[in-house]
Amino acid sequence: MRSKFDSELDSLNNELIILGAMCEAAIKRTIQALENDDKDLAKSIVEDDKNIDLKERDIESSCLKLVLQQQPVARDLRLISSALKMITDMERIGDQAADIAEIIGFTNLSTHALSPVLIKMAQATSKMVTDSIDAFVKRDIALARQVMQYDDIVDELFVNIRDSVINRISTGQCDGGNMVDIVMMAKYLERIGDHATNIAEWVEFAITGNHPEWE
Amino acid sequence: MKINNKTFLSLCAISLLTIFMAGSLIIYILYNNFSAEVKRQLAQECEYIATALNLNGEEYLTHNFSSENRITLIASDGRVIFDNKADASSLENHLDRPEVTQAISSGSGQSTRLSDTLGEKTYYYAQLLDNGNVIRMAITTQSLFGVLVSSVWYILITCAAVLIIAALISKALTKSIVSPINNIRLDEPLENKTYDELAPLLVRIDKQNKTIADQIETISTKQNEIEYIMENMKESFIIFNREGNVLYLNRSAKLIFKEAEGCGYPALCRDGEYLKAVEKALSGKDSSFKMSMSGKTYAVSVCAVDKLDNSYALIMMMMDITQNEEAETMRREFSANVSHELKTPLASITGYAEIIENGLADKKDIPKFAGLIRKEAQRQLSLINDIIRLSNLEERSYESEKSPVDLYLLAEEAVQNLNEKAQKRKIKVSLSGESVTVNGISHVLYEIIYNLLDNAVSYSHDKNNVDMFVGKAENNKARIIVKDTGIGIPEKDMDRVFERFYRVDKSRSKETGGTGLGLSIVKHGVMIHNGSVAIKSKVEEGTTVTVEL
Repeated sequence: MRSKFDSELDSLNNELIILGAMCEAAIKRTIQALENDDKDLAKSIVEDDKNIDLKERDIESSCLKLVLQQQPVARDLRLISSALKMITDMERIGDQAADIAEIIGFTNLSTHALSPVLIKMAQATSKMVTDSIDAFVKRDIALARQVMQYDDIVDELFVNIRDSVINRISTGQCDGGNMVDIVMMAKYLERIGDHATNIAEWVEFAITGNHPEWE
Repeated sequence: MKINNKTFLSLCAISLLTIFMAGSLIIYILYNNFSAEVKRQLAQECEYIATALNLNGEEYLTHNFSSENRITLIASDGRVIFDNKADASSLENHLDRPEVTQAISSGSGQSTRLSDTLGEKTYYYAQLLDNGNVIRMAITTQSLFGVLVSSVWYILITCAAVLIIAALISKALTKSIVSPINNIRLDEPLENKTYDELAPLLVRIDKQNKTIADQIETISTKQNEIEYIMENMKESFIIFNREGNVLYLNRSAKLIFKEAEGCGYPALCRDGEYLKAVEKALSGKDSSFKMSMSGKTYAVSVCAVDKLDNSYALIMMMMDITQNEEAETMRREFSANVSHELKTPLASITGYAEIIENGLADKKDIPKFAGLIRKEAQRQLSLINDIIRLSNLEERSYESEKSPVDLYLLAEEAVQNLNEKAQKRKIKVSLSGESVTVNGISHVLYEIIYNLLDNAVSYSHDKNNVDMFVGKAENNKARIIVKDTGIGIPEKDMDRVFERFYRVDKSRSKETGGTGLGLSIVKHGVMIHNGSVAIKSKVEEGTTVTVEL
């Protein structure tokens, strides 16, 4: 006989993965919108962000309910508390994907010379998000660590984009508005990478009880 | 109830009943004998005393006489003259006593009376003396009840002993009865040596054992069948329980999802469509959709089964339709190409025809336009011919039409036919090799050689050479090699050159005059002859096509 608590923990786990899947989908669709300059898609990404927010609220309240009603200890408490932290990061990922989609909505950058680099960066962050959620699903510490290290690559890509934007501005061969948009999108992507790293860290905490940043 | 207790109780009951019955019978018989003896002795003693009294008179009683029994001398009027246990004068008249009355009337009399004390009984015997007096003797003994009361302790002790013995015996007995039963091996009931009474039971158990074994066998056979089907089918098959946890994956599902038994449905895959479909199915609505995963496309259908309290278990089937999807894309491209290719010449034809119709063309230009119309019509005709030939190659079975054909002769013919075209562009076509015979269809083989040569000539630069070799390969197959030093094929197009209407040169320049079907015809022709075709090419260096049959 499975206790109610166990099945509630299971469903928390499931909900968390679903929220992760929503974030993953958001960033993947953002890449698609960026590649094809698809304004309708960008609009729907912005709208779908509301669902991510709702889901976050949902999971948050069920986490608090579990803590209050069941007084979990040890591993269960770790799972719930790291879930509380992870959903915040996931919700932020959704927000930032929506922010990027908003920029796509009023610019046309698909043919811009910097667009391929931006897409490359977006793909790298998307991989980080996917891997961090995979790490949670499979309880895979090695994969979580890999995500944390992968953040350096995304950071490097951000620096590259920033440098080439600066270069273009200083040589005056560009449209100022586009440059600002590109830097903003790159910054959003970089933030998404940071949130994915956070998720990976909380995955490690949920498994081992040790947060990598405390070391 | 335990056998032990039952045995014990029955033993006790039997023993107690025996004790009771035997005891009461014995007591009764012995008591009767005893009281008869007492009576007899009493009568005898009384008669002695009576004789003595008759001889000696009453002094006998008062002098030197002692007896444990009570002796009373009663006068004929009932007055008590003497009593050795009581004061004679205080006793009442004894004439009404039955034994006295009897003695007076018949010489002797007797009677038995229960005394005032419980459990005692008094026998009386009276005898008439010569002088009319009556001598009476009395003896007091225990009554039957008295005997019983006095023996009650013995009875109780015996009963206690019986209980203890019964307990011990019943324990031993139970053990000896039960132990063979306990030692029966139920796996082989008929092999046991035990009570005959148990034989029917053992036979029955044996029968049931066999039935159970049979049923298990049937069930496991069925289970195996299902398992074989499940494990070996190409489609992936997954079962979820009501909570959406994975219960079972078959082998091809495991190839996709690895080991995932027991995990929740979101852990399996995070495709948005999939998550939505499973959620829908958990509330009872079936759905099917297409899903892309790691480079493959799957047709997925999720079914809700086994309803209970508004929650459903799920079955999910996944079919790999990657190839179908690709074929579908190719078909779409093909039909788009066909219509385009067929339309282009017609556009020119209509254009020129219109110019002539409206009288816009000079008289002297009309033959030129007519020539152009004819040329375009020719182009379309050759296109349609190619399509027909291709579909013939695809659909018909040529097995029965095969006959020995000399490839070298066919090659010579093809070279001759193309000579004019080649010479126009100053291309030299050289044929080398030897006569080689294959079993095949003459016109299809000619088609292959002709198309290869035609391609080589068409895509060569002017004044280049085209070399053709026809002969035997090392592995005893016939080999055709066509080598040019023309424009070549870029590597990215290499995979697609056999597709119908696929052309490296997308502008479809009329100058080469091809239809885009040449290599398709070659490929199908070679396929009919179970051969192989290989292309080596480098851009701007030339192309080598090798066909082996």
